[in-house]
Amino acid sequence: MTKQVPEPNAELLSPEDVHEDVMALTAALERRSAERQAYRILSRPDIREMIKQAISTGVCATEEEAIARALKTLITAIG
Amino acid sequence: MPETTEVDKINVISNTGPMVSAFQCGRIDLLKRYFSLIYITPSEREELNVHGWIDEVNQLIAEGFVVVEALTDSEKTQAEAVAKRIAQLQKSANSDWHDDLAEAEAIVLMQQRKNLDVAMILLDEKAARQVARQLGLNLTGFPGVLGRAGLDGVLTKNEIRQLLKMCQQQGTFYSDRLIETLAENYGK
Repeated sequence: MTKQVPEPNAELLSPEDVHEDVMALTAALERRSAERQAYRILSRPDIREMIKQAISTGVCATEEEAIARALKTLITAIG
Repeated sequence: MPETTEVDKINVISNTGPMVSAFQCGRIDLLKRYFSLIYITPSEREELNVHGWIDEVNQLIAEGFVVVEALTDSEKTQAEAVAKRIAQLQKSANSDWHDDLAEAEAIVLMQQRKNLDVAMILLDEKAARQVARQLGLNLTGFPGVLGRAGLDGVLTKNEIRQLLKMCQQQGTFYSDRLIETLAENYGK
């Protein structure tokens, strides 16, 4: 059977659209990568325990704050 | 150059156009590089069948890389409305909205099925892309995949040019300016 294009006369994306497309795909792949990395780290029992401890002692209010402050402390320590 | 590993892949919904382009230039492997799963609708499968691509798509279904997802009656009704919107945006005055049903169903699937964990929709047709954007959907197209592959060092400028020219020669109307823009900006 002859192979055809479903809508041969359809107007396709423009050169200007291409940059947005590459960036959108890149952003989606990076987001997926970040989600997987976050899941891997946050599912570790030792990490979870430390975050829980930081919150229960009142040092940090949320998990996000605990992670951000830990990173700031690390950077300060090595800086 | 960044390397995309197995775990970084995403699920997408594709219209027929980007899949036909990948078939035309023989580079389904580039879709497999970035996507773990491609959802299509029964209308899209039928469109691929009518236009001679059924063996290729059936092979991908058998591999589990492509999954056909049927729409509910309510979703089909929504797809008709979306198809009419797409037809209104097309330049041709005598556009028949039935011709836009496949891409409309893909758009509705993306809108409605959050449980499919779909990150993007693949669309190459201008009018359908415009409607998808209006609906806030995250989209890319086959040239976008080639561009990303170029950034990853997988495709050279000449390879990008050749692949899109192959599609062009088989009836997919990527403009010469699009081909040059993509090759020059993203080819390694």
